[in-house]
Order: sequence, then C-alpha cells, then structure tokens
Amino acid sequence: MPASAATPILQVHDLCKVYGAGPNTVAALDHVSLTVQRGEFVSIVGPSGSGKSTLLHILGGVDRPTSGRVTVDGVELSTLNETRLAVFRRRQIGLVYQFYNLIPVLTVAENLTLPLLLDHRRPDAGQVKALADELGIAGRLDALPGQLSGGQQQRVSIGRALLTRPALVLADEPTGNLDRKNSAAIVELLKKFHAKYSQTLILITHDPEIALQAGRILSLEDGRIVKDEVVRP
Amino acid sequence: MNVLCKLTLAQIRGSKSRFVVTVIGVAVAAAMVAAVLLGCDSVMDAMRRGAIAELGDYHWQGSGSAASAQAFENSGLFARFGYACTLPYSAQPDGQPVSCMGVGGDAWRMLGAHAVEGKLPDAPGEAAVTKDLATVEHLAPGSALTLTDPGTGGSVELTVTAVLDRFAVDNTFVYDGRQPVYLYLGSIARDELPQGAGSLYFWGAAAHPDSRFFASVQALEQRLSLSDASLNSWYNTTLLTWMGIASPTGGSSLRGLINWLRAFLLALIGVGAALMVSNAFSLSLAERRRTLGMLSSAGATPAQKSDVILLEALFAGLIGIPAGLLFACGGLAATFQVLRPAFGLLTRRYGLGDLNLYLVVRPFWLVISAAASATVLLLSAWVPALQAGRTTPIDAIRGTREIQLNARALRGGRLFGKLFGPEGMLARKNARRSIHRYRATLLSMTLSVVLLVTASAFALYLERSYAMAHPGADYNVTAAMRCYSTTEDGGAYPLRQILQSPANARTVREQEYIQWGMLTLPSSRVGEQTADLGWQYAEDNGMGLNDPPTYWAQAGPDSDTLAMQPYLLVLPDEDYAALAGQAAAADGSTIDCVVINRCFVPGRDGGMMELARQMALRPGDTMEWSFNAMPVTLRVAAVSDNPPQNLIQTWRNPYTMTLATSRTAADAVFARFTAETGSYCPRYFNFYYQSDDPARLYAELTSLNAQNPIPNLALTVTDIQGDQAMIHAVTLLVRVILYGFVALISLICAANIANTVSSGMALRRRETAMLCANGLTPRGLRKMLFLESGIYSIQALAIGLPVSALLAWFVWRRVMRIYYFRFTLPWGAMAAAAVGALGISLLAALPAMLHAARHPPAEDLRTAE
Ligand SMILES: Nc1ncnc2c1ncn2[C@@H]1O[C@H](COP(=O)(O)OP(=O)(O)O)[C@@H](O)[C@H]1O
Ligand SMILES: [Mg+2]
Repeated sequence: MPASAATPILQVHDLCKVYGAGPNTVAALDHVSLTVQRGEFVSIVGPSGSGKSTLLHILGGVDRPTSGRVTVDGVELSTLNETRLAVFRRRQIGLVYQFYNLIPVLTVAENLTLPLLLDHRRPDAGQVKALADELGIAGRLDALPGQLSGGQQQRVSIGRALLTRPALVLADEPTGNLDRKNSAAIVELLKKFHAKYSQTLILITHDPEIALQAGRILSLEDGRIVKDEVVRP
Repeated sequence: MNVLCKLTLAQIRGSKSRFVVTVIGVAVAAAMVAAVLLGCDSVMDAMRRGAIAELGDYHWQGSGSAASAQAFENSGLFARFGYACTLPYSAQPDGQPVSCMGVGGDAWRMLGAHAVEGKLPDAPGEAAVTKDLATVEHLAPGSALTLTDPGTGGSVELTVTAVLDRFAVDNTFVYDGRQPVYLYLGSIARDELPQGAGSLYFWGAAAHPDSRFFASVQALEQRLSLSDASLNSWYNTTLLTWMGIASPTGGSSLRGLINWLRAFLLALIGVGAALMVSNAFSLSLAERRRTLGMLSSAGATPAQKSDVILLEALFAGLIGIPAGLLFACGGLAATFQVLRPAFGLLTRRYGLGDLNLYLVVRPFWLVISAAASATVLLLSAWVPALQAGRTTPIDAIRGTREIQLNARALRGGRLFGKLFGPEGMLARKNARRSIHRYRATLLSMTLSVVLLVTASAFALYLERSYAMAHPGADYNVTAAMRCYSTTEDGGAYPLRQILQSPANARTVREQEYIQWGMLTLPSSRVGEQTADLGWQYAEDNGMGLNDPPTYWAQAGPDSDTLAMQPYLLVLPDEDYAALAGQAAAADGSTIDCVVINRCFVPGRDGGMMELARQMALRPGDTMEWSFNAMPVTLRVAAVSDNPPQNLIQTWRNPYTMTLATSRTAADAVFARFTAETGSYCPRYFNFYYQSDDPARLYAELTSLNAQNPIPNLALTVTDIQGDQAMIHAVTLLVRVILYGFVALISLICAANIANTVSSGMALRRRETAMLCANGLTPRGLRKMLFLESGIYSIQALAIGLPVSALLAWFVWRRVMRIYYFRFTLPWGAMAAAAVGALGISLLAALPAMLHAARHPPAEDLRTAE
C-alpha cells in the first residue's frame, strides 16, 4: 500500500492490552490513542509499570493488542500474519532495547546487518564501514559482542536499528544501564540519525533530561496517556 | 517433604521434556550396560551348554588305578563322580565286532548319555547299545546280547535296556571304528572289575569349583601318585572357562579376551553415557543458575545447592535404570529370537550341541548393571553439582553466562550459510557455542553412520561373494576328484561311479575339465587388454620373457606366436551343440571348441576385474595344443563373448583361456593318447549335487576319502549349504549386534541433541526474542531450531558417508579377492543412515520447536533476564 508523505507514520486507535484472567487481570494499556507524524521525535515517560514497554512492543509488532488498531506507514498490523509481520518488522521498524540487544554468537558486523541477512540481502560493505565509523566501532567489526563495552554494544544495536533506514525507530530505555557519559553519547547518536535521515523516533526513558531533547513528550500512567505535550515544534 | 526435594521436583516439572529426554538417555545407557553384561553371560551360557554337550558336565578328569579312583571318589571333594573303563569283551558269537566298555557312577549323566529308547542300565548285566548298532543287529530294549572274551574264551549274557546316541564318553576311548556297547559298572573296587579290564578313567564335578577345590585335588593327586605311577589328570578347561572360572591349567587367554572385550564395550558405553548425562546436568545447571543464586542468598550451603542437581540425577536414575534393565532383557530376548533359526541350522549341520542363545538373567549381573549405570550417572552429575554448589548470588543477578564463547569455533561455515540461509548460519553458530559438546556429539553420530554403513557393506559383500562363488545355486554340496595317475584310467575309477550317484543326492551334475600342456597361437589373437594385463602379470611375478615356466610369451612381443594355458571344459554333447551351434569333430586329433571369451582376472589396481573379449579369436582359427607330446589341434567353432555365467572362470594369470568341447570329442582324444603313448591323461572332475539332506551327503562323500585311499587321487568335498548357513549366521550376527549398537548410540545422540537444543532454546529466550524482533519469521525460527539439531546429522552424514564408502571399498577389496563381484555401495544402508540421522534430528528438535510455537517471543523481551 503506497503511503503518501501526508499520512502519519503511526496511528494508534483505542489500544487496550489486558494481562491475566479473572480477578488477576491487569490492564497494561487502557484505551490508548495517538498519532505520530513522519519525522517526529517522541519520548515516552512514565513510572515503572505504567505500560510503556507494552505500548512499544505492540507498536513494533512484537506483541499483539487485546483490542484496538495500530497502523504503521499505512499498514494495519493486525492484518498481517506472523510471517508477514516479521518481514514488515525487519524492513520498516528498528528496535533498540535496554539489555541483551545483541546475539552473542554473531560478530559485530553480523549483528549490525542482521535484518539484511534475515532478508537474504547482501549488506553493502562500504555502507557497513561508513556506519561503523559513524558509530565509533570501526575496527571492532569482527569482535563478538561479549568483547565490547556496554556503550559500544548499545551503539551496535542502534546501528542495527538504523541500517535498513526504517521509517520507525523504537527505543526502550536504551540508556537504562549505561553511565551518564555513555548515555549522552547514545542520545546524541540517536538524535544525529534522526536529523540526518529524518526518521521517526520513539524513545522510552526515565531520564527527564533525555526526554526533554525530544520534540514531543507523552506521559503514561496506569496504561493511559495522561499528558501529550509538544516541547518544540 | 524436604524443601530441596520439593524444589527439585518443581524444577523438573518446569523443564519436563528435558527431564524425560534425560531419563530416556539414562535408560538407554543402562540398557546398553545390561545388554553387554547379560548378553555376555547368555553367550557364555550357550558356550557352557555347548561344552557340556560336547565334553560332559564335569570339572576334572583323571585316569589311573582303581584304588586312586576310589580315593578320589571318597575324598568328599566331588558332588558327582563317575568312571568308565574298556572291557575285554569284543565280539558276539556271530562275529560282528564290537568294542565294549563299562560305565558307572554318575558318568552316564555327567557325560550326557541319553536313552533314545528304554532306560539307562542301572544294574549289573544290563547294557546300552548305540542307535547304529541297534539298527544293524536288530537290538531293542529287552533284547539279549551275548559277548565273548577272546582272551579267556568265556562269555557274558547281557540284557539291552537302552538304545543311545553316542555320548561324551567316546571322547576318551578309541574304538578302532567298531561300535561300542556300554555295560553297567556297579563299582570301581578292583575286585569288582572284570578280569582284563583296561584303562580306567574317572570324572568328577566339584560342589564348588574354586581355588580351594583345585588345591585339594592337586594335593590329593600328589599323594596318590606316590603309589600309582599311572595316575594322570586334566581339568575340563573349556567348561571352566565358559563358567568364568580360572582353572590351574590354561584357558586364561580366552577368559582374558572375553573380559577385555566386555570391559572395552562397557568403557565405550560408559563414556558415551557420561557425556550425555553430564551434558544434561550442565544444561540443568545453566537453567537453574538463578534459582541457585537465590538459594544462595537465602543462606543455602554449597552441599544444599549441589543437592538440587544430585536429586535430579537420583530421580532420573530411579526411573531410567529399572526401565533400561527391563528394556535390555526384552531387547536381548528379541535378538536371540531373531538369531535362533540361523543358529539352529548351524547346530543341526555341525552337530555342535545346542548353540542357541537363550536369555539368562542372573540377579548378580542385573545388580552389577544397575550399579554401573548408577555410578556413571552419579559421577557425571558430580561436576555440575559441584559447580552448582559454587553458585553465588551475583551469578544469579548477572544472569546466565553459559560459557565463554570461542570466537574461532564460531568462524567459518560459509557453505552451511549458503546452503541453508541466515537461519543455517545462526543454527551453526548456536550449535557450536560449546564446541567440545558439539564435537563429541558429532563424533558419536558420525561413528553411528560409519558403523551402520560399513557393517551393512560387509554383510552384503560376504553374501554377494558367496553367491558369485556358487552361481545358479542348483547344488548344495560339491566334490572335486582329481586323478594324476598315468598308469590307470582316472575316468574309470570306481570312485567316479560312486560320486556320480551317491545315495543321498537328488540331482548330480558332473563337469570334467582338462588342464594340461600349452596352447600355441598367433600373438595377434590375444585381446589388447589381455596383452596389457599379461605384461603386468609377468612383471609382478618376476618373469623374464623367455622364462620356460611362464605361460606367457615364448618369444618376445615381436614374435608372432605365443603360449597360453588352456582350461578345457568337457560339456555333454547336447550342451556343447547348443553353445556352438553344431556338434564337435571327434577324430581324436582335432578338437572343435567354443572360446569362453570372458573371465575375471587381477586388474591394474590389484583388485579383480571382469575381462571381456579376452581373445581376438575367430571361428575357424586353430591353435596347437602340446597334449603332453601328442600334438592336438584345437579348432575354434564359435566364440562366446557373453557365455553362461557358470562357465565364466576366475584366473590369476590372464593368459589362461577357458574353452569348451563335447564329451565325444574329449573321449576321442583320451583314447588316442592312451593308444599312442600307452599311458593315461590326468582327469579332473567336479561334481555338483542337490541333496535334501546335505549333511548326510557330505558325511557320505567325506567317508569315501577314508575308505578309498587310492594313490594319485584327491577328493575334496564342500558342503555349500553348511558354509552358507555359517555365512548367514555370521552376517546375521554382525548385522544384529552392530545395528543394535548403532540404534542405541543413535538414541543417546538423539537424547543429547534434544537436550542441547531445547535447553539452548530455554537459555536463549531473550536472544531468540531479539531475533524475532529483528524480523526472524516463525518459519525461520523453526528452521533455525531444526538446523541446530540437523547440523549434527548433516555433518555426520557429510563426513560419515564418504568415510564409510571408502571403508566399504576397502572391505570390498578384501572380500572380492576370494570371489570377484562388482563393487556397489550399500545404497540401502546409506539411505537408511541418511533417513535415520535426519529423523533423529527432527525428533530431537521437536520439543524445542513445539515450545517455540507455544510461546511467542514478545514475552521474553520484557524481562532483563
Ligand atoms: N506478561 C505479563 N503478564 C502479566 N502482566 C504483565 C506482563 N507484562 C507486563 N505486565 C504488566 O503490565 C504492566 C505494564 O508493564 P510494562 O509495559 O512492562 O511497564 P513499563 O515498561 O512502563 O515499566 C505492569 O503492571 C506489568 O506488571
Ligand atoms: Mg519497561
């Protein structure tokens, strides 16, 4: 489905996610609706357990909602079966997580190009090299992730999320277990790519300072959006 | 219930499929141990029964004076004691010669006397006769028998009470071919033995054949030998060996071999099982890291943490070992059942006593099997248990660090990636995370493949070779009669008439052949390839070109004639006419013949090859045959490029030519030779028999050898069906044992792989979720899991099939030296190996694949662990 530049990259309509059954049910997401335009940088903040990760998983097509609709780049995710969803993910969505972002048996280069490899595409050596330079991990391409520092590992996973130039980049507390200096560097990197390739970036964070770098901040509480403020247009 | 016990049970419930697989692995290992121990014991038991049937059920045998025998009998060392001696009576009044012996005490029973009719003699004046004598003399229980003593002229009156098969007492006495009659002996007291009684033998079975018994017997013998110079004694070493007892006189090498073999098999199984078990428990440990860390922070001692693993081993053993023992008993019983017909046939053909295998389950060996399995289980679980004991709270917080990844082990594999895509590459790397475990499993898989294919090849080739040696199979006994006499006509020997119509043959085919003197023919008539191989033959055998004894060229290759050795088959006239299209000339100086233009010869590579168009002869060509100084001309009537299979011969020397002529033509030449030279030709006859009772026929023909000691005559008899039964039994044994072993190794491999793959899955949940988040499709995930397990079988096949093909070729080279047959790979076995290995992989991957289908990856992304 050709998506014109005018359509929003992300449309979420009345999204609910309920865990458990009977008296133990938890509504992780409670009628959430939102729209994100192409090229926006949105941070999501909220206390622990408020449903941030759940939302991100559903946006990324990793998890399915209990009810509601998610449309990414004009494609409604619920219409895709598991396989097409996986293919859609590897082409359209970049995911960055807090922990264990890399596959320990693959080299840095292989980790970096994993979505391409899974797509049976040959990564362009020059492009990989350029990306590695940009990430500051040139020279470590043949190392295993275990041989890298935490900051370096996270940069690799960001590189991986960005390599295919996905329309939508989703990051779940990417600086969660890094020190201040490394955190700052990671955020810089994300911002740089966001600016350079005008990708849409949705970032979950605890850190108000990081949140404030976005153009728009969504606050979640008990599975509901309680605040949606534009910081800078 | 103890909290640790409860925890362990909960953990087991949590990883049910891995536990089940571990239990299966333990059961298979226990089954293999029990199969080796019980199998060995059952085989020993069969051999023991064989030894008893052949030699008798005694441990010690002596000979000497009656006084010595009595001293032994009264020594209290023996549970059973018996004796026998030759008696002077030798003939009946009608002159039929018999040998006569007295048998007493437990000798009847110990030596296996069995009354076919009547009951064994148990009072003086009673006698037993053999079945053959009973037939000849028309004796039956109740008949009266009078024996005379040629020395004294006296005689004894006896009553026949039993008709017997011959029994093991015959092993000791020599009768000079005369039928024995067995008399009842009441006692060995000297004054009760008849006058003139000959050498006295005695047999004893010990109550407890142990070293004390041996020492006592030896001491007693030493004491008695002071007064009895003729005293002599032997142990029944064969029986003692199969009983597993070391006798003072020999048999230790066989016992050593058996023990060594048993120890080797047990070690092999032990290592395999230990590998599997320790793998299972290190996986279990990896899964339990978090729990153990928590236990640790709650104040559990190292021993308590170890207990979590050891308890799991205990539970696995409690279920797995008894199941394995049961399985082994069932498997052995079934195997013996399968082998029974083949061994039954052997037993009947060779009269080897009862060689049949019956399952013997002695509690002793069951206990040993269980103990050995439990020991292996415990020892293998020990190291993971110790590691569990060392788990600290920090390990739990840090999460799982399975093992240090080996960057070198993860490299390469481009081919695998090319063949199976990115999933293949991932699978390969995952499988090789623990490179030692990977290699060990791969090695056992490869070994299974190689064993399976090579064993099948061996069995196949053995049968093929035998089938080639006896094409047509319209006979089951053959005899070859070769007469070298020059003063007598071999063709007219009475033996030939006997061989032409033995009593026990249904059909007889006689095939005479002449192999005498040399043929001279133009060298241009030799096939190109033949000439080539001929040069090689001459070189290989160090022959000069003018070397007189060679059957090779008389002159160099420049000469236009050369000499060859003829092998002339004499066919019945009508067979010859059918082959040649016309009758053969029979004037005694010219022989018409058909060239059998195909044979098997050693090839350039040392193996045998089929040589087609050996000669370039054409109908009408003639060859000069130096029929021992009486020249004969061979005239080619026809050339058969594709002769009947049974006329094709195998030659060492490619310059041997197979020809066929007719009976009339050959006889004319023999007649002329005798008329001109006054001497006779050597004559060679092969006889092919079809018999309903090949054993009888074989016995009948071999006895001719003893009865007709004619000089310059050789008679060899071959019992094809007996050989076939032997070959069949051998191949069956090879197949059953090796296939059984392969099946069990494969099962252990499967358990190992299944554990590795599903635990890997469990340990790498987040990692897998990451892959899915990055766009690995569900199908891709299943493919990766299958390949993670399949890589073992794919690699094992990739290595194992070529290796076993090579081994099969070597086996073929050995076997086809006996009889030539074309090389074929055992395709069936190779296909079975491929299907089996891939099936095992699929089976092993199934638990992980099912688990992946049930648990969507998103759940695993949530947690930090
Ligand atoms: N698999 C699950 N089963 C049950 N409840 C869950 C599950 N995953 C998350 N939850 C609950 O959903 C709520 C939202 O969780 P999450 O999205 O992880 O929050 P956040 O990322 O904002 O900390 C929490 O109350 C959590 O306990
Ligand atoms: Mg979260």
